[in-house]
Amino acid sequence: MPKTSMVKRIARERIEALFELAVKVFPKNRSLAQRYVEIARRIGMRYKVRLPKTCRRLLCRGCKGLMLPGQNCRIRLRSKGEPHVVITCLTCGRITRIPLRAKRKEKPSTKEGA
Amino acid sequence: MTGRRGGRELPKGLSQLLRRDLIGLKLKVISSPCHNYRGIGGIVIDETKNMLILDTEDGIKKVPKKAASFLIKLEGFPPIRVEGWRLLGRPEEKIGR
Repeated sequence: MPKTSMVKRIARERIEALFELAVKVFPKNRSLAQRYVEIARRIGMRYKVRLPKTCRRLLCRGCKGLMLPGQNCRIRLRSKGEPHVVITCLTCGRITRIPLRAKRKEKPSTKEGA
Repeated sequence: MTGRRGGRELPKGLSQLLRRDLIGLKLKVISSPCHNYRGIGGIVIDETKNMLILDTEDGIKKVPKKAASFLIKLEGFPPIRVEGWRLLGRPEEKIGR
């Protein structure tokens, strides 16, 4: 059995490769794309690897389906209240909100104008 | 798990190949007890525990891995012959081997 860190690295690479493949086949064969996503998610679960952020953004939290902007999801920017991005999955209707908060700058050693 | 069977050592680099994704690879069936499978070649589009699903010129074909042997064509490398039983297992379970 190889080292855990190596296994996780391979797992991460394969998840990314599978997502890439899924996006590629999506226009031709949606169910095959979904199958690739399914395998990628299983790899993640089995080897305790989180899906990378780029991959997580492509998944619907409700139906776990692949969401591609302009194909089967809607992306809107909302500025009321806290500015956020709204992603609506057009397959199941689930909406995901991503808050747009300015990234905190690296902690300065002394508090400045807090 | 299956690494010891037959007692043969894997050539260097091949064990890494086996841990790779088969999905997306080009391969050809070079031997199988059933002659209908011989000579089928194409891109692997899906994989189950015991079967490879190939996208061939004549459509999608399913090939049992266990008894067959395959010629894997990687870009930039000479084709590699692999016994089918080495490829057994679900895609999500093969990394740790």
